[in-house]
Amino acid sequence: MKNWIICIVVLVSNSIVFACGPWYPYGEEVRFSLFTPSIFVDNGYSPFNYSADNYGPEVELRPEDDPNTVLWNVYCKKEPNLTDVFRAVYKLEANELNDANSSNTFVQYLMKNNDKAAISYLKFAKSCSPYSQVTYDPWERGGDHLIKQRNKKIKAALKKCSLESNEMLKKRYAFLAIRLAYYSDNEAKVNSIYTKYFDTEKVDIIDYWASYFKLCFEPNSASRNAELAQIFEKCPDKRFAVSQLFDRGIKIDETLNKAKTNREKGNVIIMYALRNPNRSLSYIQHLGSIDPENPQMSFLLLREINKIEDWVLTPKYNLFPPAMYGEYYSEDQTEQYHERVSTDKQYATELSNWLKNVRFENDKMRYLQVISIAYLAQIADNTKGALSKLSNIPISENITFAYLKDQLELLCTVDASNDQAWIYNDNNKALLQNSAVANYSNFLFAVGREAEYNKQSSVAACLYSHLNKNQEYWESESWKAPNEVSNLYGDFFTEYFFYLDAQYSIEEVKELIKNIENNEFKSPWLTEFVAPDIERLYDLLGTKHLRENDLEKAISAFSKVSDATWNKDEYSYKIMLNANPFSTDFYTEHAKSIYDTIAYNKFEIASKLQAYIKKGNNLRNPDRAKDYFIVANCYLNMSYYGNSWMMRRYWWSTNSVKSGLIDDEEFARCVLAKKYYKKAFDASTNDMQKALCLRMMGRCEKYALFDELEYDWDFDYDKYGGYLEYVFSKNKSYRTLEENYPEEYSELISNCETYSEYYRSF
Amino acid sequence: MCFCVRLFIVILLFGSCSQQEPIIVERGMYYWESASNAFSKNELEILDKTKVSKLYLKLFEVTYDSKMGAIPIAKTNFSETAQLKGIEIVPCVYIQNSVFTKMDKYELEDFVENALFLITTMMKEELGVNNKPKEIQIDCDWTSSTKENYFQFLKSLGEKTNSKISCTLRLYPYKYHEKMGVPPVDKVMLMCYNLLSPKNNDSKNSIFDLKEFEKYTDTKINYPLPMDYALPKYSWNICYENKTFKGVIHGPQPELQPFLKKVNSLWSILQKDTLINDIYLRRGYRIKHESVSNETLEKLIDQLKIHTKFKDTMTVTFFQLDEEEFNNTTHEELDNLYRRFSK
Repeated sequence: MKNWIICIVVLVSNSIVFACGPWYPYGEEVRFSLFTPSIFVDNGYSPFNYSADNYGPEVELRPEDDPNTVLWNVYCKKEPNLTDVFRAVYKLEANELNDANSSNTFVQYLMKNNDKAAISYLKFAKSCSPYSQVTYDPWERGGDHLIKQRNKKIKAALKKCSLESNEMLKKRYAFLAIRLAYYSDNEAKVNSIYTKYFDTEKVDIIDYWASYFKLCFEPNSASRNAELAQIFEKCPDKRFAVSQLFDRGIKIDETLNKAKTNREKGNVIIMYALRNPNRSLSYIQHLGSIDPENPQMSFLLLREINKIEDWVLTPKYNLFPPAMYGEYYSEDQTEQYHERVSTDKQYATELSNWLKNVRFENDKMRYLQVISIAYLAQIADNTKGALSKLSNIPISENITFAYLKDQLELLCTVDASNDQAWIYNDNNKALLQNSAVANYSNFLFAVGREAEYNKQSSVAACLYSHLNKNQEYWESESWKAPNEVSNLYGDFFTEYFFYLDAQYSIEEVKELIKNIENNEFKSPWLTEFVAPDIERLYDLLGTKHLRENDLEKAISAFSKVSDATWNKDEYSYKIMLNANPFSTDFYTEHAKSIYDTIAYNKFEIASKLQAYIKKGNNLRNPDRAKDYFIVANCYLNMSYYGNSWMMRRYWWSTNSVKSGLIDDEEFARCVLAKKYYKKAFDASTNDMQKALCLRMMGRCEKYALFDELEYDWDFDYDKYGGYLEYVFSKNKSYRTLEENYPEEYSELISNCETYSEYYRSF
Repeated sequence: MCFCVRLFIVILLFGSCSQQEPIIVERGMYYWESASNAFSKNELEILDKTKVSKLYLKLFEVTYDSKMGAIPIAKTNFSETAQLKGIEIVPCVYIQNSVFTKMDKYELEDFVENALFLITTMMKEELGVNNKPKEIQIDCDWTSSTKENYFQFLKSLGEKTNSKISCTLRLYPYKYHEKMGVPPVDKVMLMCYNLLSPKNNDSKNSIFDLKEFEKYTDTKINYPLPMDYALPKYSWNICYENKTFKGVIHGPQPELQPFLKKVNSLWSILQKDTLINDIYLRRGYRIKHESVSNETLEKLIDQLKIHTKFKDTMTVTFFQLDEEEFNNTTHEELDNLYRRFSK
């Protein structure tokens, strides 16, 4: 046996591998969500989506969401492909813009129309880019050279502006000049250009861009806030910068007073709700009362639903605390946690009640409205109500919308089902296999959880077996066990097998095996990963029986595991069970003992153990003391301290003896080993045998005492000579050995070489 | 001069030295905020009524960036120097100790020049102070491993400016100056607070604990540099979820008070979900409020007086000027705290 000093993960996982050592899921890794914002909201809002990170991921705008691309497309009478326009404006090099052979439809359009003015503008704009960024000068030593270059560009831009006849291009040149002046920190220049070219009603994104750079120089004020809120709506690429400039310290009423129209006021409300991690229903209600058609309403509503998902469903499904709060589970706070979830469910109902009473004209918003009402009902435990709402939602032509509805409907169906009939429905099977649906992994897991909570543990196991097959660890599904068993290095799971080991009862494992063997689900997809694992499941079943010391049933289960499985390289049976469990000595734990000449698999160990027990129980057997002694050795070796701990566990660590599994006491305290050493003692025929039995009983008792007498920092162990000496003094078996066999005592306690001599006395 | 007169002067001098009392206590205040650009009316009143003559103003902090080297961060926005009516501004720079861990020696001279340039630029352009500062103060929690670089920085800084250089001094390098070294500056500011780690001392006030303080002031120490003294006048709330540290909220935060249920003199339990400074505190959080009362400050001063032989002139300063922190202190009480050094 190897020296197992550090943590070992036993069975090789065939799913995700954590290459960077111990890892504990948190934040976005555990946040539960089905309502992906991008289903309803353009990705220009992604940094502001609800997230356990400071900001959500910044995703590149889609061409259709970029007003600048759309404006250029309109300029080209919508002839070019939008994606090509986007690519030409932002990605192509200047020399690619007048390529006669370009495959880009935007470039083709400009060339075909001999639009030298537009091409010239685009080339000039690209040449300004290096000067249109902050050149970092933290020590403020000055950048005279850069300023001179910028000034030249500003002059050139303004000259081109004055010579340009096309109004859009003229405005674009003026904007370039403003932007360069901004990066030169030239407030006067920014203001003078703005006054000359932009101080009129804003009609397109160029006006809003120009306004942004002007506002950068203005002191914080309610009116600046109000203008920024409008830029936030109109300029997706400036949203992050605008959110940084916006001063939420100014009271919302003051800013609202500066906004003229209801749309402008609505945009102001969005800015105040934008980063609020708390409940935002009052903002949503306010927005709904003055501007329900605000295009940003969907963003705000999704953000709120994502919060409620996190507050209620992350603890319900993954059993982690909400991603935004951090750890709050502890014995004394369980009640408080339930209270919090309960109030958060009430909040879900409040949001739903508001949604029921508001009218949206936009189709997308109406769909979001009805599906949100259904979802919020399910979150608030009104599953029947949710199903009823869902049944009234017509099938959408938008496939993403339709999938979301189907997902919710299935989740609610499973939530409301007392049997697994739903799994026989082909539509449900197809949906479960459709990895194109939003948050697929969360969805699959949630359905599994609902099935498990409704006593459909076999289906749940099959669904869990599909999790984390291809994802990177940060995309993986991690969950905890309701019974709080922690049988691996942490109290969470990423693979179904170990979860079954922790959470599932013997009956549930048997049921799963039966369902697989009878092809009960008639779904090759559902059993894709569990069916090939059938022998491992038998091993699991046998192991669970062994934990209950039911050898007969354990042997029966282990007998279904083939030698090929016991010897498979991808599992660890042959590595962990490579020593003789029937032999030991005074001190050997996981290292090989000198008697170690043979190894057995789990079936062989359990069978031989049963045979030795029978022999020991036979009163006519003259060697029954020895047989009992061998049985005791085996139980000792199947404990935390032995060479065959894998008979009871799939994972072993130096720093965690207890996991919460049913045989924790046996695993830590060697109760059965001690019992059989005692039986050997009673059946012994000479003093050497009896003394050896007492010595080994003392070894078992030592482990029990270590478990029982946890080191107490306030206790004065020094008067005993130290903690180990204190534990030794409490060992009754050693005391009996000392009192009744004084001659053997010092030999057996002090001389580690005497085991074999005494063992030969049997 | 006749002999009698000389004798009288000698007696007078020895007499005044043996009193162990300062002749002049200059009154100072720290101001460490970056965001605000002016003092409030109450803050100006505190400066005026208590005759504060020196403002230690943090201009910027310095951190180390792997690409840019030492860089300034958290530059002050303070610009309303007209409010100060003749109060001397001492520009302060806080340097993270890691700057000196990561910095190569050849970067030091550039760093000194950059720092000096920025101090001068900010004093002139941001604060409108045209005269060179009389004093520049550097704040850094140096360790044995960064001492060499840090001291070289201070030495070089002193050589490149006519301003006096002072630096902050924690109690540990004060007591163990033979081991930790004496910084090459004109004078030091002894920081009489922050003796304990806020996260590791459940039952003690980490801002100031008299017993801890006495450990550093139990023997007479003849520190070889003129010394000023900085006293704590700030508070904070350290938030925990169970035993997990969740963050620090600075200031007295009176809006938290109605929702706190006291457990003991330091600890409370939050009774209601509350949003403060964009931090969402949930019901059940354990909150440790730490502040230093005027009575404790008096004991601190008394302990200093027992322990220290004050120089003739010194500055006493409080950290930091914030109207909320002074809400429960009258001008007379603050005045008395300054006076207590020379009583």
